[in-house]
Parts: sequence; structure tokens; C-alpha cells
Amino acid sequence: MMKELLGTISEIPTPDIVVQEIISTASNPNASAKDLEKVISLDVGLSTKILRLVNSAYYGLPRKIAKLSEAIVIVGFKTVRNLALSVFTYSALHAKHTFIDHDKLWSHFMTTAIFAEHIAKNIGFMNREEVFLAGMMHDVGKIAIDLVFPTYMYELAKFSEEKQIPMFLIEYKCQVEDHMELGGELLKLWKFPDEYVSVAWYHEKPSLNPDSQHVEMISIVHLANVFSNIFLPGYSLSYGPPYLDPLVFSVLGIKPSNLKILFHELERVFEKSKDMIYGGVKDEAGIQT
Amino acid sequence: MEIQQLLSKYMLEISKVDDENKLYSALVGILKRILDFQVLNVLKDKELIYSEPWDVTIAKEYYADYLAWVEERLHPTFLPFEDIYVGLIPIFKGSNVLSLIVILTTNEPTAEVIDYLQLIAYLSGITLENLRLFKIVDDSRQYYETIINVSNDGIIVFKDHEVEFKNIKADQILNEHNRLLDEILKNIENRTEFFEFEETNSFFSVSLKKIKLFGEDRILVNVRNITTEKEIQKLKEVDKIKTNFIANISHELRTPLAAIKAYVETILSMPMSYEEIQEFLNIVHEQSLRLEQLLNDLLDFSQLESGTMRIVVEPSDICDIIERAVSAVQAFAEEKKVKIENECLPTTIECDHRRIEQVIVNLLSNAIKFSDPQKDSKYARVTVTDEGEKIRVAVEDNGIGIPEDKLDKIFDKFYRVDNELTYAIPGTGLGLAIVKEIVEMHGGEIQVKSEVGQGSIFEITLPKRKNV
Repeated sequence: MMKELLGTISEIPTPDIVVQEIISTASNPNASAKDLEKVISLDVGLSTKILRLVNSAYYGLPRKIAKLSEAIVIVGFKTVRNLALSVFTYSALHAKHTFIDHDKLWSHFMTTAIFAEHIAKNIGFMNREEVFLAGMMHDVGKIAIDLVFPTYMYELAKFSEEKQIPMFLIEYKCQVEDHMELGGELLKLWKFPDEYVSVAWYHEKPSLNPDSQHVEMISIVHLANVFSNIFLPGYSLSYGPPYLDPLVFSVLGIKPSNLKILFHELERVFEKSKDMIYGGVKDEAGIQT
Repeated sequence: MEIQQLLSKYMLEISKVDDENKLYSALVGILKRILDFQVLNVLKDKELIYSEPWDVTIAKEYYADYLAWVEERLHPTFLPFEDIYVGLIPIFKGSNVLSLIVILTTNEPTAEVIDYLQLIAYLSGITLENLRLFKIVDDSRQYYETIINVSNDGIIVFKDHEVEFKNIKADQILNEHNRLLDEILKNIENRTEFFEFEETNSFFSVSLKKIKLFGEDRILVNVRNITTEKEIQKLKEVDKIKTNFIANISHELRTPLAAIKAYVETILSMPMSYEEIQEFLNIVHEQSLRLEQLLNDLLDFSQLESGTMRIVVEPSDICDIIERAVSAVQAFAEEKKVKIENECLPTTIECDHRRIEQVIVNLLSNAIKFSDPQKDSKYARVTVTDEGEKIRVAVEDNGIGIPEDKLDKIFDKFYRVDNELTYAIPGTGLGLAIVKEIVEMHGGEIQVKSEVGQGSIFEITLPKRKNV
């Protein structure tokens, strides 16, 4: 039922023309740094925000980057694309005041994205930027529910907290369209490639579709999501002990004993990324650099 | 698609490379096609290890501050300068940077180029890691091989009774001593863990050990040349024997001297009857003879040691010689109640009769000296057998006998069977060594057979005609 509403309800934000252009330019193999710079410059505030992010402690660049074209060749097209989409996601998340804490949910998105990228790098998975973006977008279903049925979202989060049961299990028991399915639908609507839709769909339990073409990406984001919920409990509006799908061990070729080492690495990454996680993309004044 | 062809070509090329430089040269090939560059440098641990063109270096000032950053990020990056780009492409496996490609280009990289560079970095990382692992394995193999080959011990590994491995030393030993391999195989069969092997004055100690290698049984054999150790051991024994000899000889000299001194002092200090003096002087005479004998032995020995002993050969009758010898020891024999039997057939031989007499006296004295006090009838028997070219003289007794393990040592210089400083039976340990030397100087041989408690037979064979 909710699924059908997604496209028609005006509250659901859609990427504006600039963001769509950015996505298509960044995925055009022949695009040059100047092409991408030109597109981003269409949104006056966007370039500044992206440059702020590129110069944040998370990227730890040895020299300060002043021009977008430099940023594009140094950190890469896809990273700049990801940053542009982060800005969009942040604004989609903060489009309307509801009963939930959007800043916390944003921190969850960003932490999951950063952890996913780090895990990908750690296990030698090549498409790190895609993994980052998939991590950023995995829970967009929650934005959709919150925008359409804010009270339901609030009750869902409250129930999860009171009973200490993860949100997706409550949704499953209620037999409603869950945030994974809605997230997938929303990403389809936004014309994201299949892998992002799959990640949104299966990120809570990869073993639901172990034969997915994108099982590695799904597993990475799943693991990142678990760690993100450990580092920032409740920020995802989901409470209770996070569920870790054993499928990730075989898919990612890691051992349960590796998780402790990974945890300590992520602690370090988390410390370094605080400006990204908490500072968000609010406005120029709000960004901690 | 052109790029796919380039990639398949590159993968084929790097699958065949066997050293890092060939990998980089293949890398130069594909990079030229993907993103034309002017200079390419390869850094390993911040040191330049490859460049194209070969002598051109990209100034480190361009990128030095980015090195740590790019190694942490593991992603190709391009630093824009006025009209050039300096690209940094880390080649890595896992999170381990194996080397860093630095390129200088005037071309701006597109999104696609950067994607391909990352793919190439991944592919090259796998090959490079394999190359380095192979080198590590190869180096460590060489390391252990060198150690095993410079070892002074022969090391052999047997599998199913076949030599599976041998080091250089083992090869050398086995070549020089053909019998050794059979000996080892025999010992593997018998499951012995240790044996000693002797051939042509070389001694080896061989240890065999069962080991499991790759789940299969093998025998590890260690062959050590212990010839030097054996020689040192012998020298040590000789040294010990000499020390004993000096203690012994002092004792031997002092005993008769003390007796002579005591008796003469008594004669000088006390009024005595003629008979008493006669008796005392007899003892003094006897002891001085003993002293003389000792000194003669020592003299003979020193001649023997310095190789200056000479024999004077003339035709003599063996029976005369034996009779003289028997009468020389008669008194001693009577004292010890040993009966001397003499079965002689007169034969003329060419020899130094004084020396041969000395030999027989010595053998008879030994027979008497080592007679068995527990036996009622004690004897020493001399027999002569004619053997055509040679004659055989045997001195047989029913004395205490010689333990079997000592038989091969009794002719050694200074050797005494008791070998302890007990002096139960007097002697210098030189007698038989001198005997053997004299016999051998005559071109003869001496042999001994003995059984403890039963008695001993010393047999001398002498050629009748001495060819000097």
C-alpha cells in the first residue's frame, strides 16, 4: 500500500535536476573533471559544501583543496559524487520536522557509509565508492515512512526501544511493508542502479537472498550497519541486540575472530570521521572542520 | 572493446612474468595506451626501483606530502599542477602497499581512466605479491640449502630405501666410501639408530632417525666424520698411559734401590757373621740385577722409540738360545714354584741370538710372573716347531690368562692389563712392546691366545733366513 504512495506523495523529496545531473555525469566514463565541476557549480551552495567535506579530517588531505576540479582528480569522481549525494540525502532527511531525531538518523547513515567503505578496503573489495553510497542509502526507507506516516514511525521506534527488539523484526511481525522494501522502491524511483536497491532490500538479513548478484555489497553494508548500531546504539531508531548474519563470514572471507580487530580499526576510523558523522552538511556555519 | 582487449593482453603478459621489472614493463605498455604519460617512476619503500624513460625521475617535491595519504587511501589519485598532472597509483594487496607508480602526464584523467587504473592496480597487486612471495620462498629455500650444504656433516634423507636427498658433504662421503651406503641400508633394515663405520683410516659416526615429512615416513641420516676425534682420543689415551708409566717406573726403580740401600746400611752399621753378610749380599745382588734389567728395558725402549735399535744377525741354534733363556729364569721359576718344560728340536736360524734370548726370557718371565697361585701344578712350556721356511716358538702357561678385550692392547707401549697404580705385580709395561719390536725386526710375527683362568700361549714365528 505504502509502496504505491511513494511516487504520488509530494512530501517525498526527489533528487533535483542538479543532483541527477551529478549522478549521470559521475557515472559517465568519458566525463572529465571539468564536466563534473560545471554541473556541481550549478548549485551555488553545493560546491562549497563539497569542498568543506573534502577538506574535513575524514579525508585527511595533506594540502587544502580550494578548487572543485582539484578535488575531483585527487579524491576521485565517485567520491565527489558521493559527497553530492550526501548533501542531497541530508536535505531529504531534514525536509520536515517530525517526531524523530533526524540528526541521529543522519549519523547512522554516515557511520554506516564510512564503515562500509572501510570494510570494503579492508577485505580488498574494489568498488569502495559504490559501497560507501550503498551504506549511505541503505536506510532511506526510514525517511519515506517518516515523511508519509510520522506517527507510525515514532511508535515503531518507541516500541523497538521499549521491547529492545530490532525494528525490522517488528515490521516483519506486523506483516507490513518494511523499511527495506520501501527503501528499495524509493531508490528505484530515484533511478539508482540495481545494486543499491538490493542493498536496501537485504541489508538486515543478507541470507534472505544469498544468490544475489550483489551479495558482497549487501554483506559489507550489513556488517557496517551492525557495527554502526554498536557504535551509536539507537541512532538508527532500531534497538535491541543487532542481528549479525553468519553469511557474511563466508561471503567476505573473514573469521569471527577477525571481528575484534575490525572493531578496533573501526574505532579509529570513527574517531577520525566525527566531523562527517556529527557535523553533517547543515550549513556552512554548522560544519566542523 | 579496445580496453577489454588491452586488459586481457595485460593479464596474459603478467601471468608470465617472473620478475618485478617485467611486470613494470608490461604496466608501462598498458598505461601508455590508457593514459599517455611522459614519465613513469616506480617506488618501493620510497626508493626508486624502475623508471620509464629509464633515467628520468619525477621530482619528489610534487608528491612527497601525498605519499602517506595515498598509501592509506589505496586509490589512484592525480595532483593537478599548472599544465601537468602527477598521478599516484598504489599497487597493493589487501591493505598492504607493494609499490607505488608515479606518473607525470599532460593529459587530464577521466573518470573511466581512474577506474581502469584502479583495476590495473588490483591485478598487478596480485601478481606482484605472488612474485614477492615466490622470492621469499625461494630465498628461504636457498638460505636453508646453503646452511645444509656448508655443514660438515653428511645429511641424507631416505624414503623407501632410496636416497631422496643428500647434501654436498654426504655426496662426497658416499663417493669416497662405497661400502657406507650398503651399511646404512642394512642399519635402516635393522632399525638401528646409531652405528660407527670405519674404512681406510676414516671413522664415521652415523645416526639414523625416523621422521615424518608431509605425512610420510622418512629416515634422516646424519654422517659425521670422527676420524680426528678418534685420533685425539687415542692421543689422550697414550698421554694417560705415559703418565701412568712415569709413576710406575719410579716405583719400579725405587723398590730395588730401597732394598739395596737398606741391606748395605745394615751390613755397614752392625757386626755380622760372614754367612749373614753372604745372605744379605745375595739379596743386594739380586736387586741390582733387577735394577739392571729395568734399566736395560728402558734403554731398549728408548732405542725403540728413537728407532736406533739394531740387530746383529748370525746363524745360531734355537735350542741353545732357549736353554740360555730357561736357565736365566730358573731361579725365578723355582721361587714361584713354576715348572719349566722345554721341548726343542735343534734348528739353525739367522738371528740376533741375544735379542731372541731376551724375547724368550721376557715371555717366560711373564708366564712365571702371571702364574696362577691357586693352581697346584704350575708350568711354563716352550715348544719349537719347524715349519720349513720358518720356525714357530710357543710359550704356553697355565697362568691367570688375559681378558679377551685386552688382548689387542698388550703389545702397546706402557700397557699393563691392570693399568691401575696397584703394583700388585711389578713391571714397566714395556716388555711385550719390546718383544714385538724385536720379533718384527727379524721379519717375524707374534700372536697371543689366552683365556682367563686357563692360561696363555704366545707364539712367535721367525724366518730361518733373515734377509737384511
